[in-house]
This record gives sequence, C-alpha cells and structure tokens, in this order.
Amino acid sequence: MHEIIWFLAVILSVPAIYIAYNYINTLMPGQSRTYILQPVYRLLKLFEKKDDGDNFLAYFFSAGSCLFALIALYMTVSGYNFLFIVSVLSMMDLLVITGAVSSSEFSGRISAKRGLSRFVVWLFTSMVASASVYKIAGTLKLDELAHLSESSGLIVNLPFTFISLFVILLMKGNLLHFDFGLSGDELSVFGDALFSPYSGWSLAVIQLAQWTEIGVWLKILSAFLPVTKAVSYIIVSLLYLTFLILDRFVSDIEWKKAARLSWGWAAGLSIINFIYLFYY
Amino acid sequence: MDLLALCLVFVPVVLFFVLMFTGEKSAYLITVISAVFFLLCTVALIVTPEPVILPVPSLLWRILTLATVSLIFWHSVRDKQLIISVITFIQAVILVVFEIVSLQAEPDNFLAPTLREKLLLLCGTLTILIFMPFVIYLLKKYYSGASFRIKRFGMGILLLLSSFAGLISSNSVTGLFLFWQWQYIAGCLLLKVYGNTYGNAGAKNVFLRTFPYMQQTALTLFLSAGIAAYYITGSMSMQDFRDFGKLSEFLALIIYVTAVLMGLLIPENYVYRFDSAKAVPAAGMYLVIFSLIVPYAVLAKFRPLFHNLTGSVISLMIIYGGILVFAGAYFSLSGYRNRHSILNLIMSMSGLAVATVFKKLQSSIRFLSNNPLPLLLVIAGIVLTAAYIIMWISSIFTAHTGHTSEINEEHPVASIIPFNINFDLIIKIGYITTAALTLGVSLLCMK
Repeated sequence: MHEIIWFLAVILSVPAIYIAYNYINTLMPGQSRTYILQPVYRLLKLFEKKDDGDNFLAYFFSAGSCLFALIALYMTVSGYNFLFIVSVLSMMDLLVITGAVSSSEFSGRISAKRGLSRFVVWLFTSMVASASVYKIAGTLKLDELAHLSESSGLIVNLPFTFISLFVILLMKGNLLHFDFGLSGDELSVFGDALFSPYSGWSLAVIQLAQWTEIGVWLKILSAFLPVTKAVSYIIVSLLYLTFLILDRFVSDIEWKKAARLSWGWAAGLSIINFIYLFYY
Repeated sequence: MDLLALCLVFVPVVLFFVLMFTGEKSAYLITVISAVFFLLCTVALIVTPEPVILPVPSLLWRILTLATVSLIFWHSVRDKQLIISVITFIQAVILVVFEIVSLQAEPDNFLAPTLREKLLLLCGTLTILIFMPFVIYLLKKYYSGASFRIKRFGMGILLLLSSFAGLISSNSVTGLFLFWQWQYIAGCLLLKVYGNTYGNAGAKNVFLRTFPYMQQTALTLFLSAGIAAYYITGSMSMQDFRDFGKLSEFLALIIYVTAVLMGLLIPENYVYRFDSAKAVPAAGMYLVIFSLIVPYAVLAKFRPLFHNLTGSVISLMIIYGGILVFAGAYFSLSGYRNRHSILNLIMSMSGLAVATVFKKLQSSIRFLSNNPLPLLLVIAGIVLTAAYIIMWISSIFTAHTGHTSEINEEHPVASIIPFNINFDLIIKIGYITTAALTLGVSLLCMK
C-alpha cells in the first residue's frame, strides 16, 4: 500500500512540477497568459490526435518505453537495487533510440545518435556513482540507502556523486547546458529530435514515459538527503523546478558542447568522488 | 583418475585418428557425434556424485607430452619454421631431462575437475553445439567437395574438444602444457581449413606472424616455471603451489602471460587474423572456448598461489583485464557493422573473466578495493557494450533511405563521445605500460 501511494504521488508530482513551471512562466514579463493546466492539456490533445500510421514500430517502441519507465518507477518506490533500476531505464532508452533510428527520417537518426551519446554519459555516471555508493554504504538498495542517509548523512561522503546524479536529471530534462537538443525546440534544422517517428497517442505515451523517468530520478536523488523521505522528495522536486525556471535565462548551446559539459560535470564529478573514496 | 574425464579427453583423440581415414560425409558425422558424446559425458560428469576411478600410469602422460612436442618439432622442421623448431627442441630436451632425472610421478588426480570446472565444461560444450550448425553450414556452402579441408576441420574440432576437456580437468602443470600444445595443433588445423597457416597468417602484420613464436616461448617458460615449482614444493599439482618466496611474483607472471597468450588475449587486432566472413562462426567458437572459458579456468586453478602474492602484481593483472574489457567493447562499437565486432565483444568478455578471476571466493574485496582504475575501465567497457548493442539492434530496424551513408560517415565512437581522443593509441599505450610495469614489479620482488 505504501508503495502504491508513493507510485501515484511520484506520477502526479512531475506533471504538477511542469504545471507550476508553466504558471510561473506566464507571470514573467512579456509572456502571455495561458491555461493553467496547459502541459496536461497538450498531452490530452496528443492522445486525441490521429497517428500518421506510417511507422507501426513506433507504437511498439513508445508502449515499450513507457512500460519500462513504469517498471523502473515501481522498483524505485519499492526501494530496489539502484543498478537494477538503471538497467530498466537503459531498456527504456534502448526502445526510444531504436524507435528514432527505425524512422525513415534523417533528423530522427541524427537525434538518435545524440540520444545514444546522452545514454552513454548517464549510464557511465550511474555505474560509477553506484560503485561509490556501494563502497560507502555496502548496499545499493534504495530503501536501505534512504535509512542510512537519514541516520548517518550519506551525502557527506558522496557530495559529487549527488551532483553528478542531479546532472543526469538535468540531462533527462533537457535543461541548462546539458540539453542535447532532443526536445524538439532546438533552433537547428535537425530539431525534430528523438520524437520524430512518433505522433498522436504514441507521442503522448513517450511523453508520459519521459515524465515518469524524471520522477524516477527525483525519487532516486531523494534517497541521498538526510531528512525523511517525503521531505527529501519535496526538496529535490523544488530544486528541479528551480532549474526548470533557470533554464529560461540560459542560452541554448550546440549539442556536442552539451555532451562535453555533461561528461565533465556528470561523469567527471562521479569519478572524482569514486577516486576520493578509494584514497581517503 | 576420473573415468569420465578420461573419456572426454581420449574419445575425441581416438576419433581424430579414425577421421584421418574417412571421407567428407563421415567427417561431418564423426564431428557431430563426438560433440554430442562430449555433451552427454559432461552431463554424466556433473550428475555423478562419486567419480569412477581408473588408475592410469603417469608414464602414459609423459610419453604423450614428449610425442606431442616431437610432432610439433617434426612439422616445424618440415615447414621450415626455424624458430618453432628451436623452441620445441628445447622443450623436448627439458622434458626428457626432467622426466628422467627428477619427476617421481604425476599427481594421482591428474584429471579431476571440480564442480565449478564441470560447469565450465558444460558451458563450453553447449557453446560448441550452438556454433556447430553455423560452422558446418558455411563449410558446406563454401567448401563442398574439398574433402581435404573438411577432414582438417573435423580433426581440428576433435582436438579442440580434447584439449578443452584436458585444460579444464587437469591438475598438473605438465597436463596444462600438454593440452595447450594440443590446442596449438587444433588452432593450426582450423586455420588451414580457412586458408591461413599459423606461421604466415596476416603476412603483412609482424605481430601476427610472430605470435606462434610467442606462444611456444611462453609454453617453454611455463614448463620451466612448473619444474622450478616442482623443486620447491615437490609436487606438480597446482593445489600445492602456495608460496615460492621471492620467486612467487615472477612465477605468477609467467603463468599469467601463458594464459593470456594461449588464450589469444592480446591486442584486439588479433581477431582480424580470421579475415574471411566464412571463418567468423568458427573463430567465435574458438575464442569463446580458448579465450574466455579456458583462461578463466586455468587462472582459477592457481588461486592458492595468486592469493599469497603481495597484491601489486595482481592489481596490474586486473588492470590488464580492465583494458581488455574496454578495448574489446571499443573495437566492437567502432566496427559495429563489421563481421569482427562480435569477436571483439568476446574479447571484451574475456577481459572481464581475467579481471574477476583473482577475486576472493567469498568476497569481491580485492577487485573493488585495491585500485579504482580497473573498475572504471570495466564500467567504461560495459557502457560501450550497451551502446554497441543499441546501435546493432537499431541497425536491424533501420529503413534504408539513402541517407545512411551520410550519417555513417562519422566514426561511431566519435559521434557519441564528441571528444578528439585517439582511443586506439591510448589502448596500445595501456597494454604496453601495464605489461612493462608487471614485468618490472615482478623482477623487483626477486631482489
């Protein structure tokens, strides 16, 4: 029962963050007022739209990725092993990227390569981070990590690991200088991004999968803070919302530069923490 | 001696001689029957709780070892391979002198696999049976009517089975030496099937050309190390090898280098020796058996010795395994449409086997705590392998529209890791540095 409540809470919290962001955005000078539930409204409209029907595999890939995202979320709220969750998220990415490659569109394939680049960064970072966590805590189970964080402040020994995992969250949210140009709002001609083969309800399902994945990372990060689970989750969510807003004031950069910065901030910091734990 | 283990070694050898006098169709039949027989024997070996003991005089092993070395010597003289002739002649002299002067008897349990080794045998056998239909299909397609090649193939496979069983089951250093020589012969036979010979394979590449010399030199050193160990411990059994004092690090290095060289666990371009696409399934089968399963099993046999080392040499050996994991994955990814990518992936897994074989049985402390570098290398290798799998699966679903060449012009690794890094050079430097450091540390320990 406890898991189900958390599962629903996380699923609902991510759209709530985007709604809050949308609301704050409309308060900015020069912005026109929009419907307060605009992000959810857009999603519902997508479900109502008819698929173009050209790419049957797109249905399969979108449904598969959403399924894996939901499994990852369930595993996260149940406190499963961090590496298992990373494996399931890898499967989700595999399906999204394969779907983009399978499209007959040039931009889809180009963005699939960017997706693969992002995948390599976050997978490497997660694995190094898990090695650091295991070295300190002797376990990778998220519920045990949350207890340890509460009792002994795990983050004191893993500050860079925490930052690197947060950078993964920013990469997944296409924020700041960690935007690989996959969200479709890039200025270049290849801006159709990873979602180009998807349309209609399959695109909506992909959107749901992305939101669920954001929720998974928020929940993972909340296991590192030395406060109770609920408070920790709220803090991490507010932090994410802050970066969402901050993103409006940061210019877009070319995706290769974003990849290099991601390697430096995500992978680099996790390696520094890992090596630090070995020698100190 | 375990009767079933003895059957696994000798039945393929008997069939090897039968096959020499049969035709093409019989060659296929004998090969398949022997593989199935091998599987049944392996299963029987696992399910039988108490081994059926059959006493075999150690003289038999001595004669076999000397006969094998003499055969390789005779062939090398006939093929005008001077260096091999010299090395095998030295081996023969060492064997004759040692066996007459010093060696009392071989260990009683000359062939006695443990449960873990039996499971490795089963894995290897299943691998052979899975690969076999593809190998035979390609042979029938490309070499139908070339009974000479088919017979060579059958003989190679039979000797491969026999040497595989011997290497996994053997508890004696001379046993390992004997079965590695059989593996060497099996490799020669299989290479001849696909148009290459061991001496001049990849004639343009000096490294590949000299590789058989390196293998035979390593085997000679291994034999000498075994004799030195016998003088110190009074036994040829690996279970009795624990502490050799100052010599420990150096002997461990010789054992490690032999396992690496005989397992082909050397810079990845070695897999390009199997140049033809029709050789890839056979090469894959050979690599899984002799690069993945056998090195792991052989190094695990020497655990009592490795666990008594100071640690620095072991760390370097683990780093070598880590580099191999990374290099294999990197070359798989960079040539993901290439027929050799799967062979590179096998090399990567072999590196993982080598890196993890030194961990203590009850914990993974040594692998995780001594040095951060191997773990980072292994993680990087796993990540690149995951990327390779995604690219490979994606290529299956790719709709060909004419844009493909435009996208694929970029190097696959450069397109997903956008740094101007020469990984090829880094990998080569990594191999050389680690090898030099391991040798240096081993020699320093002897002071």
